[in-house]
Formats: sequence, structure tokens, C-alpha cells
Amino acid sequence: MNSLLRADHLTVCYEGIPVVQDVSFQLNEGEILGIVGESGSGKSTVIRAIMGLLGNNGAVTGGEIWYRDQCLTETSERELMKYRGTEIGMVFQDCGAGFCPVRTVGAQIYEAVKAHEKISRVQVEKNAGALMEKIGLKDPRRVLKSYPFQLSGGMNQRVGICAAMLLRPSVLLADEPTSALDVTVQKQVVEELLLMREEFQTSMILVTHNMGLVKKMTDRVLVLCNGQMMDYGKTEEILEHPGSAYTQKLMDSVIRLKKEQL
Amino acid sequence: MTEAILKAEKLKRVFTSGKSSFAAVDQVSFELKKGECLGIVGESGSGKSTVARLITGLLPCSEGEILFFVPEKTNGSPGEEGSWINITQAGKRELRSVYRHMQMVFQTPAESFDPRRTLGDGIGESLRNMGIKGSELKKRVDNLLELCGLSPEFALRYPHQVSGGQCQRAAIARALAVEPQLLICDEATSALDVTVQKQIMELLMKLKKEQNLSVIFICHDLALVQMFCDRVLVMEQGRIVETGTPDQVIHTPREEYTRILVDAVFDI
Repeated sequence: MNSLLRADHLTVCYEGIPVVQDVSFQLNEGEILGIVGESGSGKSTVIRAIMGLLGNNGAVTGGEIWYRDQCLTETSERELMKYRGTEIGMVFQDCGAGFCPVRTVGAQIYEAVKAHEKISRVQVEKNAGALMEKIGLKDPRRVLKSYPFQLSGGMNQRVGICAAMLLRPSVLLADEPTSALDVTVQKQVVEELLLMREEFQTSMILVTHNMGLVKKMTDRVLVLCNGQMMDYGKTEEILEHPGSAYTQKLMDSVIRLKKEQL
Repeated sequence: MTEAILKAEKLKRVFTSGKSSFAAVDQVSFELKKGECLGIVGESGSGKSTVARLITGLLPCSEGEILFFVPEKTNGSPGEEGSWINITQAGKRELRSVYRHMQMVFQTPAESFDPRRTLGDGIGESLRNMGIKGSELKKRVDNLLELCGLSPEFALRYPHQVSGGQCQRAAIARALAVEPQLLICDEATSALDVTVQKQIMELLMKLKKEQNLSVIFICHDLALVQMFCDRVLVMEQGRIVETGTPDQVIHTPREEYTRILVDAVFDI
């Protein structure tokens, strides 16, 4: 398997204070990497650094991020635009909030796709409709004509995933994609993401604090605490035999549902 | 353990917008006994939080009634002198006496404190209203903080100066200030990290055991409900569809809806 995305000794600072320190990982083709940790551990910062979305106060102060043979941390803003969306897609915790409230979902999906390729609106809606059906969004025509507030949280989230996947990115960065959802909807979204990987061999980085989700979805996992790497390796091995005391504590804190009668 | 302290009968709450109306809670009846912990689970929009707001009188009922036992002495328990108050018809004065025995903890701890006042101020407010002041007040606030695992210095901090978990513990300390009979937790641990969540759950279990506190625990996490609650109500679209002990409901669900809820939880 080839490495698609790689971080080497990445250090990120916000206003001079390091929030991610010396973090290295590698994402192979078709692989799902989980990043876990408590709030404030720097999980989301890693994803923002990859996309170049650290804002004015943040900067990568050490290390590099490589996408195939391109060093993203040394790429200009203008060049990065070519990668965002088409090569590296992103799904946020609350996709509904990312849409403009006064325009229909269809118009916004068209706008996003049009920014990257020459394509007609009819074609975009056709593609979007086909993808929506695939990920279990019923009645795509109605969804495309709806405003974000007319859709439920779970539907908005799936529309967000659909918008990100329409450009067929090689890597999908998902920041807490199911945290705002009910368990039943969460399960559907997770199954859809796994289906995406099967259909398009999309690699993913999944940022979450839900250890159950990590076990269900990821091949490898990176555990962060205060911006430092605590553990990194195969998900099964890390969850069953944590290498650090911190990961052990994290696993011990998880309250498990006892489904079977003992 | 045998005396009821809260009875809800056929609660209904209808929200209207324009010409359409929608029953967020319908035909909900249950009883809560002293020292019992009752879980309420269900998807978002199933009416869990509305039930909490109806019980606390924050939202008026459209139909039905809620009876709450108010003991005469602050530390009294049912069986002693006291009276039943109908929350649905209670005036401000009666509600005030209800709140001496019933308190609520919300999902977003930071939003439930006044940002311009210290945590100690917020925790001590109800005590000041009861006429406690000076060194006695400080001592009580410090004790409450300690009970919830925070050091006395937290009394001087503002909500934005503490973490989410610390703020939630301060919110529990504030709720416990009046030594309530009943604590209503509406997704009290949902916004917190697993490590902090575990600490809060341990605190609640300690309080339940040591102070014989009754709790209504609204939560979408079945694992927490299974660990903490004596009985659980499953809600779907405003109605109670199933009740029983957590193990009954989780191991042998009678309703398809409950089974879907249980199946959706990922094993670890």
C-alpha cells in the first residue's frame, strides 16, 4: 500500500503556544485513521493544519505534511485551493451550519462542484441524486430543493457528506462527523462512510472522542493528549493493549453497554 | 424506598406554530419513589427534555398534572409531615417551595451560570435567599465544592475560567445547595469527555447512595442509564413506549424501536 498523506514531526502553534507537538502519522490508500483524545488535545488542529485552515493566529512551526509528492505546508494558498475539495475533502461536526441558510441545498452543491470543474447544473443534480440514493437519503429531488433548515440534523449531515464525496476526493477528513447525531442516525452515517470507502477506495481521517466509533471504523489510531502523541498503531492492538497509561485511562473511562445477559 | 415523591399523570404538551400544532409530549404518566433513579431515553425530538421542563414548571402543561411531595422540614422525607403540591397549578410562592426540594442540572454547564459572577456567587445564591450569610455561607459553599470534588478556590473563579467538567461539577454543587430531594439531570454528561463523564457519574452515584437522592436522568447514552438507573422509560414521539429495569429493556426489548436503539450502540 502506498502512503497518500503523511505528517512528519508536525508542530502547530496558536499565538506562539504549541498545541500540537511532534506528531507523525501516515495514511495509506483506502485506509481509515482515527485521531482520538479529550477536548483540547489538538485533534481538530491536526486536520486544520492539513487543509491549511489554521487562520491568522495559527501556524505550522515545525515538521511537514506531505500529500503524495506535494509538501502541503510549503504550498501557497492559491496552490492549496487546487487540493481542497477535489483531492482532500472535509466533513464537519455540523454540516447544516456550513450551508448558507437562505439558499437551497441544490444550489450550494452546484456552486461547490462548479468551482472545481466545468459542469452543468442538471448534471450536478443528477450526480448528487444518484449519490444521495446510494447513501440512503430518500427523495433526493426534494432534498435538493430544500433549504438547510427544512432538513433534520442527520439529513444535513448526509448532504454534507454527499457534497464532499461528489468531487471524489482521495482523502476525506471527517471532524466528529457523527457526534451531533442520535445513535440510530449515527449508525447509518457510519455505514454510509464505510460504503464510500468500498465504492471509491477513499482514505479517511476520522477525528472523534467516541471509542466505539474508532473500533467500528478505523484501521489505525492515533491517541493525542495535550498535543502530544500518546499511542499510534493498529486499532485492535492499541485498544486491547494500550501502550501508554493515558490510553489505558481513556479506555477505562468508557462506560460499556452490557447487551448480553451474563 | 417505598414512598412516591413525584407523580406525573397523563402529561401532554402541545406546541403550536401558525395553524399547525404538534404534541411534543402525550399521555406520559409515571411515578418516582424516594431514592429512586429513573432514566428517560429516546432519540432527539422524542420529548425527553420537554418532560423535564414540564416537571420543573419551566414550561406549562397543556393537559395532565404533576404532583410533588414537599416535606415540611428541609431534610424531611415522605412519611413525615408534608404536603403534595400540584406543579401544574402552583403559584410563584408554591413553586419557590418546590424548588427548595427539586433542582435541575442542564446539558451546557457554562451557559447555566451568569458569566459576570463567580461560581461561588452562583452556588451560594439559593443559600443567601434562605438568609444564610457571612462565614457560614462561605463554609457551606466550600463544603459543596468539596463534595463535588472541587477545591474551595474555585468559588472565586468565573465560568469561563474553568473547564467544562469543572463547570458541570459546580452546577451540581449549586443544585445540591438547597439539599434537594430530587435532582433532574438533562443530558448532564453528554457534552463532556469520557474521562470527565466517568467522574461526574461517580459523583452522582455517591450522592444517590449517601444522601438517598432521587434522580431523573435524561440521557441518550444507554450505557450510562444501564449503570446508574433503577428504572427506565423509553420515549418515542412524545409517548412512553416501554418501561422496565435497564437490564430488562436492554436485554429483552419488547418494542422494535427500543431494539433499534440498543442495536445502534457500537461495542467496544
